[in-house]
Amino acid sequence: MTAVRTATDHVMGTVVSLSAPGTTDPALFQAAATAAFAHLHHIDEVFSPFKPDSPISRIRDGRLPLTALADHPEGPGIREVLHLCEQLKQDSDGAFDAWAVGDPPHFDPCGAVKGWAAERASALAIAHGLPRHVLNAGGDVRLHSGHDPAAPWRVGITDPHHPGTVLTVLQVHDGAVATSGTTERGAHVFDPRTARPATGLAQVTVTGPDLTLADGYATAALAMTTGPDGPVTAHAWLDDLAHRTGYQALTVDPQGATWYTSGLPELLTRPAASASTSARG
Amino acid sequence: MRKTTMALLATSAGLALVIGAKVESATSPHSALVATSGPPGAQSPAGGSSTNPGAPTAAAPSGGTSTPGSAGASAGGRFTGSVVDTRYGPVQVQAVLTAGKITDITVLQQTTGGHSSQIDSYALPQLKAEALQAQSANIDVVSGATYTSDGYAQSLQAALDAAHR
Repeated sequence: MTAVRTATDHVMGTVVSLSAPGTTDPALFQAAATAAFAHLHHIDEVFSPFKPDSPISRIRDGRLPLTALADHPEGPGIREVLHLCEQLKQDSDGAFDAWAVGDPPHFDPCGAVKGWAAERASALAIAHGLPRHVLNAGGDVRLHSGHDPAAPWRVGITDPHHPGTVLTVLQVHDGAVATSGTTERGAHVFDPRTARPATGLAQVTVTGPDLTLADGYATAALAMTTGPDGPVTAHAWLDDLAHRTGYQALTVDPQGATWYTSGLPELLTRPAASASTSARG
Repeated sequence: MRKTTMALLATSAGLALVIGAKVESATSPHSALVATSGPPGAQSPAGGSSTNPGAPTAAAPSGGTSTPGSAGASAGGRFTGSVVDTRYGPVQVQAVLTAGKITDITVLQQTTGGHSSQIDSYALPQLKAEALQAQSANIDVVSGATYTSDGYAQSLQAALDAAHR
């Protein structure tokens, strides 16, 4: 009866959902879900800025110098995230800067950790026998088509202005879809260069092979939207990103206008009802 | 003269759209893409108009018009082009000619108003047609702005998870 088998868990301040085909052995699915969720809880212990004695909090407060990471049991993972943060900072011309988050600016790699963690948890699910699955970490999604590459996953993108509806549906075989926005948590993304909240776009979705990067790119684009030229800047950056990396983007502005990169239409599904609505190329 | 002008306007519309992003980022007060001098009611309202890209405007009908007395050999005045169906949506421009040269171009009709709308608008017809209710969209998973644990309870993903449990 059930076409999909699903498990959920509360972790990292959100809810993570893992889904696999209904034909998956229940015990195998449960074991894979347990392993994936346990890994996310462990990452949360290490990287949470809200836990006063987490390694990340200690780095932020200067109690754990970066030079000590070589001997730290979590050193490799932390260095991986720090490297990722550095890469995203460079890619975004400083709009994403884990060392200057919020006001006053402080170290907080959260914008990079969730996608990175979900990417690892998804890999763990494959290792535990789920070649075809979806992992959704608070709206950031990693998809694997497994042995059934002919059947893409259908990924709804929420409409930030119409709760309960989706703006569109992307068809993705293998890859990631990450969305950052101001709907759920308010204007929580700041541009470190101006220390102002980013409000020029209501929502940024980025899709590509890797959830770590997709999530970081979406957050970075949103961080660029301060000031009157913010959306133009973010769109120009996303266009350039699409040309450089192949990662495609879809944005929604505060008035509800949508925009997307030229490669995104290849992922759009086309209901029959809309097939005749447009004559333009 | 008139045919030439109309062709010129159509070309100008395409040109203006191509350079749209650049013009906007320069925040030129006389951006070719912002209706600064169109007749009242001709410009699409800023924002919120994205669901009716085909809505008629109060501007001149297709085919193009010019203000009385301005289409003569003087090659000056205000000219309204026909509605041009571009890849960005239907666009109508108004041009001011002075001594045979275009000195200003104004967009009277565009599929959506507001900032950066010229680039935005090409996305709308397809996307809004697919603004589907999740229940009928047969979706597997929902990507959205990060929800809190509380927000999850109201999310589409929660509904999907509940249905599959």
